[in-house]
Amino acid sequence: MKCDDNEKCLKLLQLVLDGQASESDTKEFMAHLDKCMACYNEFNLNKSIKEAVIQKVNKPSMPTELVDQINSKIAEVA
Amino acid sequence: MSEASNSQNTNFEKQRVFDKEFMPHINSMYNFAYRLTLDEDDAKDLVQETYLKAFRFINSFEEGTNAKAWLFRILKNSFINNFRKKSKQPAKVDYQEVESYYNSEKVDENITTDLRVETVQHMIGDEITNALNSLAVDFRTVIILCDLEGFTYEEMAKILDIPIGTVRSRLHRARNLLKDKLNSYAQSMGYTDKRK
Repeated sequence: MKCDDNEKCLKLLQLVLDGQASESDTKEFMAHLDKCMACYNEFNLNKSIKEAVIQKVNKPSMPTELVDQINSKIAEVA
Repeated sequence: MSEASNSQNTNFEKQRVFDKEFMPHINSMYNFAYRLTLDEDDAKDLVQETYLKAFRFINSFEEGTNAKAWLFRILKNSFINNFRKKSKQPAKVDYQEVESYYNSEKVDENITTDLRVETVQHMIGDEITNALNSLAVDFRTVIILCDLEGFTYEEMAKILDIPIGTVRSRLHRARNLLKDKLNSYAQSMGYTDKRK
């Protein structure tokens, strides 16, 4: 199943997902989701991937000595 | 005032701006560097080089403007100039594929997959991380900047030196590629759609 206005919706989907759509565009898109199962599913899948990236991607831990190393280099050139 | 005390004041002022505006972003900078290089030592070198550069050009920084975006831009450029060639990059992207991706601002169709929300929700950190790290660095970068660092498209355009339309299309493609990776992963792990 495909949305009739696929290209426009895909653009809007991304803007809404990233919180960069205007208020009226967001409203329009959210209303469209009630009428279009394809976009509804696509939006939810994209949202779940974005959330998974934000919540689950491993966070590297910064080596503790890095700040001191930078500060001493700066002290050398200052 | 003597010249010596003048330069002392300047150094004091530089140090103050450096500590107040730049150092608070050190964790984000390290995370970004690590995710670009996928190597702890390279990430450290990259962050160090970025901070030294930022200090050298601190006079051109206007206090109160977006220090984080400026630092990210310096780091990204240092990465391109120094690290990219030698970094351990997985999944080299086919040149023609990149070419056609970059030269178009048109948002292409979503790939259709059997991937389901529930499957994504069940995936663990390592699975999501591996999928993200397996993307070519330019695609990985836009997802990091947007989703993990929360930059706006406009800020990303400035950091990456590309038009905002290209930010949008690259991000769209990056997410399609990520979705594809997650889908292959789900299939290889035997996650199946129970509705079928």
